[in-house]
Formats: sequence, C-alpha cells, structure tokens
Amino acid sequence: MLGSNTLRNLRSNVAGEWQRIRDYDWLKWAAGVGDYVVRGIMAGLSAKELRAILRGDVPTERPNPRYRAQVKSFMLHLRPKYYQRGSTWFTHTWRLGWFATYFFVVETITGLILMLFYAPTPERAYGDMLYILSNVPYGKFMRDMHRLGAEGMVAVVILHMVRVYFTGSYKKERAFTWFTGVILLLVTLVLSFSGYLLPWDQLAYWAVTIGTSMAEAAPGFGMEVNLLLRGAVDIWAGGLLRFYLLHIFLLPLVAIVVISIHYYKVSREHSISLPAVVEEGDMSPEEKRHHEERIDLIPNLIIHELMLTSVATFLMVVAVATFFSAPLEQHADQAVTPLHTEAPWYFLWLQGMLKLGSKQLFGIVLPTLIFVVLFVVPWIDRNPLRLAKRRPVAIGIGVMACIIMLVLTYMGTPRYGIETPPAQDILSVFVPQTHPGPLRELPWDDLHTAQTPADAADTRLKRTYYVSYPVGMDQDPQYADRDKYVFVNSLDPADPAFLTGLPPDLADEPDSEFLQLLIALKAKVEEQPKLIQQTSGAPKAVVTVEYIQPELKWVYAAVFWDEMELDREKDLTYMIPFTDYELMPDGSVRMDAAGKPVQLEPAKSKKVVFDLEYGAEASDGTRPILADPRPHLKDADGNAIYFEADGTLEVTDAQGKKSTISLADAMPNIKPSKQEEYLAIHRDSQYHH
Amino acid sequence: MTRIEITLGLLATIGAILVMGLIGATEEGRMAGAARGFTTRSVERGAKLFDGQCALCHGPNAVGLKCPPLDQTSGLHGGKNPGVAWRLEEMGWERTMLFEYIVNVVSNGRNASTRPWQWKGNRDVGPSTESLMAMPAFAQANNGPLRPDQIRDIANYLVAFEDFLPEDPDEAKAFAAAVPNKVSSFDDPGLNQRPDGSDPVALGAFLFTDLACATCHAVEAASPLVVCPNLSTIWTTAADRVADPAYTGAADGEAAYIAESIRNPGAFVVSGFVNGVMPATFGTLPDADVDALIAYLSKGAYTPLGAGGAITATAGITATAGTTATAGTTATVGLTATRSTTSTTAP
Repeated sequence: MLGSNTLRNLRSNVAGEWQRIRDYDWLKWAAGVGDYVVRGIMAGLSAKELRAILRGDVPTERPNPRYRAQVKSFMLHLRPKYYQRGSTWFTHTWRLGWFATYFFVVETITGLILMLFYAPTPERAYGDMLYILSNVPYGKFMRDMHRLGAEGMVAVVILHMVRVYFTGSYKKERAFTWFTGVILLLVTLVLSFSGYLLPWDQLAYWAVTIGTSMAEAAPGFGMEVNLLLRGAVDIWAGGLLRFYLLHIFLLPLVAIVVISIHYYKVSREHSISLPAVVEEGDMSPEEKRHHEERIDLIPNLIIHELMLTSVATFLMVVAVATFFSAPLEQHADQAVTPLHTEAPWYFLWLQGMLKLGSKQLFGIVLPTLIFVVLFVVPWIDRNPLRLAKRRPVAIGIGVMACIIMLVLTYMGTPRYGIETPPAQDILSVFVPQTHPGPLRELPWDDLHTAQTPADAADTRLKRTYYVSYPVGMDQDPQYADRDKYVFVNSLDPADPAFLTGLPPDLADEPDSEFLQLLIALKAKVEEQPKLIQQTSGAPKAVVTVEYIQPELKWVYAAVFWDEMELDREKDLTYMIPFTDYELMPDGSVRMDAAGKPVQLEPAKSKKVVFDLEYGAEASDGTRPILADPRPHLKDADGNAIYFEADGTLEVTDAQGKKSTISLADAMPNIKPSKQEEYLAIHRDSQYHH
Repeated sequence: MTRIEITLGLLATIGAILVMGLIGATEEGRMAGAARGFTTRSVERGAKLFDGQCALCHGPNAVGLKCPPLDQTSGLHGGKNPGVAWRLEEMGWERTMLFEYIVNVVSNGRNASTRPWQWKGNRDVGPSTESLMAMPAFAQANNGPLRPDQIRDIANYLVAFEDFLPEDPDEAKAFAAAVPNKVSSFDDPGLNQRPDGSDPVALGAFLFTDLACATCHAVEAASPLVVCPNLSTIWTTAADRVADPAYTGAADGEAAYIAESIRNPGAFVVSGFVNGVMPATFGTLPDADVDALIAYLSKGAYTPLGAGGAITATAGITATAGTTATAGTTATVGLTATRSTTSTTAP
C-alpha cells in the first residue's frame, strides 16, 4: 500500500534507486550470467577454463573442473579421462581409429547435404548428379568430399586392422573389441559399396551388378539373396531404392551401434594398448614409469585431436580443390556392357580371386572363410606375448596375408588375365568407355576437317586420315586431294616425308596434339603382330573427322585387319576343306534330285595346327619360329594326329567313310575383322582441361 | 608441443576457410561451365543416338531420307529461314517450345504423316502398312527403345542445329539459299488439292490429314497409337457418351458431340487421357469443315444438311463455338491460312 510518506519521498527514492542502478557492476553481472550459461552448457567448465584448455594451460580452479566435466557431460563422458603416455605414441596407433571416426563424421555431414538434392529413382538419380554438379553451389565440393571421405575411411579402417594385428593389440581382454572391429570393417566395405550404385552411372551399375551376382553363386540361398539385394532379376528401381536405404539408413545405424560398443570397450575396459616395447621390452623402470604416466584427455589430447581435425580437413579441402574429382560416367545402360568392369579398389582382391576359378569357391566360400578367420584371430592366436620377435609365426602369417592381398589386388585389375582383341585394346586406349580419354581431351580446334566440301551434293566437310595403309596407297591419284585424304606416313614428325602426307593447314603445325595422337595410333596398330594387313588392300587404320554442326564434329576411328587365328598355345592354324557326305547302305554317296552329293550338316573344315616352336629370344625381343612345325590335326580328346611325310592324312568321317585330306588344300585361317568407335565432339563439352 | 599443435591447427583452419572461400568465389563460373558442358555432352550423345536410331529414316545428320529432314534447313528451325514455315506453329505449339515438341514427338511417335503426299514414313509400302505408325514411339514408356534422358539427348542435338542459323534475317535468307541439299518439308506438290466439298466424306478425309488430326488420332481399329482416343468407332461411341450421366458437355447428339470435341476439346475428356493435349485452335473451323469431318468420322452415317448444316442448328454447338472463338465466321484462319501463305511466298 502506498503511504503518503512514500509519495513524499518518491523523488529522492527514485533518484536513489537510479543511483543504485548506475553504480551496479553490470559488467560483472553480465559476466556472471555468461559464466552461468557457459557452465550450464559445458558441464561446469567456465569460459575462463575453456580458454585455458584451448591454450593448453593448467586448470584455473581447484579441484580440477575438467575431471568433473567428464563425469557430468554426456559427450565428454564417452571419452576416457586420460591415456598412458606410451599408448599415445603417434607411431604406435597412427591415429587410425580416430581418423576412421573423423571420416565417418565427414561422410555423415556431406551425405546429409547431398541427400537434399538426390532422389533414388532411375528416372532422376543421374540427372540429380548432373544437377548437383552444375546447379548447386558447393555441390561438386560436397560430392568430391563425400567420395574422398569414403575412400579414406575404407583405407583407414583396413590399415587400422593391420596395425592392431602387427602390434598384437587384439589379445586377451581386447579379443571382443577385435571382433567388433571386424564387423566394422565389413560394415565400412558394404557401406562404401552400397554408395557406389547411387550415382546411377555405368561404372556404378555394372560394378554392383557383378557384385550382387556373386551373391547368386552362394550355394542354396544365392538366388534369394540376389533377389533380396536387387529387388528384381536385374538392378533397376527396386535395387536402387534398396541400396539407397542400406546406404543412408541401415548400415549407418549398424555402424553407429557397433562403433559405440567398440569404443566403449576401448574407453572403459582396456584403453588403447601400450606399445609392446613398453609392456614387455627391457626398459629401465624409470623409462617404463615415464611411458606409463597418465596424460589427461583435457587439454593435451583434445588439442591434439582438434589439430588433427583441422589439418585433415585442410588437406581434404585442398585435395578436392586441386586434383581430386569423384568420377561420373555415362548414364547406366543395361544394353551396353563396358569393356572392363573394375571393382572398387578395395574389392579388387575379390575380383582377382574370381579369375582363379569357380565362383562358388573363390567368390563365396574363400572370402567367407577369410572373414571367419579374421573374426576368430584372437582365439586362434593363443600366444600371450606381443613383441614381434616373440610371435614370429603370427607376424610371418600377417606379412604373407598382406602380400597375398596385394598380389590378388593386382590380379583383379584388367591388366591381369583378361585378353581383349588387340584392336579393341588399341582403340580403347584412345576412346575409352569409362573416361573421356585422349581423343575427347584434344583441343577442339586441333581436329582438322576438310576446308572445302566434297561436291555440290555433299556439302559436309569431311576428311579422312589414313593412319596405317598399304604401301603405295598415298601415291594413288584417287587420293591425291590432300584436303580430303591425309596420310600419316611416318612415326617421326621430323621426317621430311611426313609433311608430304599432310595438307597445308596441318603442315603448319606438325607437333599438334591431334597429329601426335594419330602417330601414336599408327605405332600401336603397326606394332601389334596380330593385326595383319588386309588381303583386300584396304587400309588398316582410319580416322575421319567431319563437321556436322558449326560446333559439332563427328570423329570416326576404325581398325581393320585380317585376323590370323592362333589357337590357345599360340600355334598357327590352317583350315583344310573337308566335307562329310551322307552315305547309302552300300557305301556310296547319296545324291539329291539335282544329282549333287548330299552333305551332312554342318559342313566343316578340319583345323590343321602347326606346332610352332620358338627359338631363343633375339636382341630385338622377337623369337624366331623354328622349322618343321609338324602339322597335325587334333582328335576329340585333343591328341595330335600327325600328317604323313608326304603331307596326307587319312581321316574317317561321321559315317565311317575314310577319305584322304592333303596339306596342299590347306588355307590360312584368316577372318576379316573390324573394330570401330565413333563419337560426336562438341566445342564446349569441356573435356579438355 | 601443445603450442605447435595449436598454431598448426589454427593455420589449417584458416587455410581450409580460405580455400573454401576461393572455391566459392569461382563457383558461379564453374557451375555455368558445368551446365554448358552437360548440355553439349548431351548434344554429343544425341548425335550418336540419332545416328543409331533416327538416321535410317531421317537421313545421316538429319538431312532427310524417307522421312523429313530435321536439320537447320527444316521447318523445325524454319522461322529463321524465310520461305519455310514454322513446324511448331503449324502443329499448334508455341515457337519457343522446340525442345519439348521434339521430346513429345520422339516419345509418342506419329500415327500418320501430316504430309502423306510427301512423307509416308513407315506407311510407304502399300496397304499392309496401313495400321503401322508412320513414326514409331521411341519412349520406353511406349514400348520403345529409349530412356527419357536419351530422348532429351536427341532433342538437344536437333535443337543445336540452330547454331547454323544466322541471327540476321537477311543473312538467314542468303544462308538458306546457299544450302544446296535443302529439302523443304513444306513443298506442296499440288497432289493434295482441297476437294470442293460436294463429297463431305472426301473433304473430311482431306481435312483429317491436313489439320494433322491423324498424327494423334487413329481411325483404324488396329492402330497401336494410344496418345489420343482411337476414333474408329466414334459415331457409336458418341451416342453412349452423351447418354452417360458422367458426361459434362453440352451436346445432345452424336454429331453435336463430335463437333464439340473438335471445337472445345476440354468440354469432356475421356477417362485415361489428358486435357490440354489437343490444340484449342480448331474452335475457329468453319461449320462446313466440321460437318465434313463428322461425315468422315461417322463413315458416312452422318449427312450434312447442306449450307449451315445440322451443326449450326444444334444449340450445344452454337454455344461451344461462341465460347472458343469470336471470329467464328472468318473464312480460313489458323493452320490452313499458314499453309496457303507459305505456298504463295515459296519460290
């Protein structure tokens, strides 16, 4: 109740109150409020204390608030309070487990951003990739980071396992931690592989088609697993959605759960192992004590981890800004099987194993066995000692396993064990299916076409480059117009003859990238022994360049040759015409109405094999063929039946009729072959970097 | 050691921010370049797809063969070439929608040629091909071979023929004259004169082709064309439609129903088809032409009553004509006009 006194004194009361407000230390009050808020959020750590932590200073209060924070804060309680000095040696752990976590976080962040612009349907997926690359600011950056992080995570997780194996850190109480680690290795591999399909390009589509087809080989339930993964007989909308959900939901969920278990064991049960030299080595007690000293998580290790985060992020950003670019091939196409489908590098070992034998054994049984063995390593290896010299067998097996994995990985690349037709091999160097390749990357203006139209009826500007051609073709008056017909007549641009094959517009720049490319093609075609000059007298390699639009050129490259068939043992084969006729009961040949002998289907030729024996390698790398190649046929069992000295051989046909075939009738086993690639190249397609 | 780590961490953070800033500064240019790159790569793929899928009929590089040319000399880019009509305008499309037009035609095909006296397409080998589509539908959705993105590639390739055309009209004229293998798809050889109207069915048959109805509507029962309703039994169907309680139009008889469908296609849309596909430009057709079309579609069951005909007598139709066109009585407008002007100015 306001009394009259209050009213009377109001003026001075207000003034006094005002004075009080003015004199009050608001700064201190604000600092107090700020400190309260900071402490509330940071589990009791004051702003001052945080500053001290980040500067690596000693605690500002007593008792040490940092330990209290580790009890009170959820995020900090996940971490141990301290590590022993020895276990923090950089060369002991290489921070591989930490890096795995780091990449997992990077993948989560970049993945969430990419998800905003992506829909997992065959109609949209690839278009969304193009949209991300061309219409989303930092879209390419996010995609490259995500891809780089994925590669990094797989590499780091594998190295982490190798490290733990070689330092013997999986023993005793750490056995179960190892077990969860192997689960995480599997999860990481599948996580990365499931993301492979999402861009919906050729690389993705075929790698995953082959990957899931391996599941099909599993005995008993392979078909079901394959169907479950693909959602249909072939990967299409259903398969894409399944891989998407695996990639963004199921596998991350499993990973988070298993990572939690894995890390909980490390932080609460057995910590990071001490280096074996500290644990078992002959160190002085002082030294040992020094390495067993506790190092607080806060601030020393926190600062170290912040530093690693910064440096790793910096390196990734620089890599993405400079050289690293996530590949994106053409739109997935069921009708076009790529020449080589290469698994991602971390599955090359599996692809290598598949080249060794049956899909069941090498694609399912052995890989399963490998992982089963990995899971139970701690229980197989009962040796309690950890120093390398005290576990020679384990170290030996480990080294062997690493070498075998590396060899298998090499065998997984297309370089090993896959023989493609030589012409296809040659052209795929210049016009590969999986990446732009040298032809596409040429400067557009280097692709010279004719300067004048062929004639009034055909106004297109077209020029043919004869890269490898029969002798004398360039002298033929039919091809005298150098504007239309260009001859690459030497492998050396400095050769004076070289210029005679070129039109004026090219003769000015004999070093142009395009001519270099044609010379390289000529060299490859002419050095390939299997490509024999055509008997028809046509050229062996041709490239044409033609304008079809002002900014669009049509480039056609072809290699023609007569293939001399060599059998598996690289022996030369000839064919001898040999006809089976239908026989009458009396042994004579049945005639048809027209009086011609009735042939049994199919009429075949007998293949004559000349065993080629090679001499010692000459200085130029070739091996001469020795005389007397001993021509023979092969019977049904593959045994050789040699011709008589006079070049004849008696054979029995299907009806039991005997006839004599003669080497004189033998024809070289040649088949005309062609390999061609054609593509349109636009001025602005930006393949040239 | 801690000090070194702090310094290193700070430097790396600053470095990462700087590099990301640098990326951001060049991002706009990069995106524009990437977008241009993707479009032109689409042109490249389109050229290759055209070579494999289209060149057999439309000729290598789209110069035309048994089907019309689609290159820079054709009506697709015609508006820039004096003397050649805009194909899009003729077909009732906006001039700016060339890309969409091509995607539409490639996806859905063409039942019959709009100029059968010149281009027959697949119907060129006698009566046995009557039920074939002149141009097959290429979209996988229509059991064709091409994915949507591949059809867009082909459209991008054909649109890119614009690069040939000079912007300046005089230059364009000189350019058009200088192209020796120019084949215009709009040369009317005089083989297809408009009948005088004494036989309404014949006039209707002429108009059905001339107004390009046949590109979407089939009149053969066996036609595979599904883009627009099959009209082989429209006369009997029309009676059912009008009787159907779900019918929302104003017609009260078969003839009136057909006339309404021609002049105001949105009045009633048959279930399973989309409103707006059929151009609304037919609202201005003269009564006599509509009469002739009805006579043709009814296979002679409907006989026009002479001048004015049954059509004008039908209340429903007068209303329809009134809503769609004010110039209902102007002799020839729209498509027919376009073509007659073209043929007079063509050399």
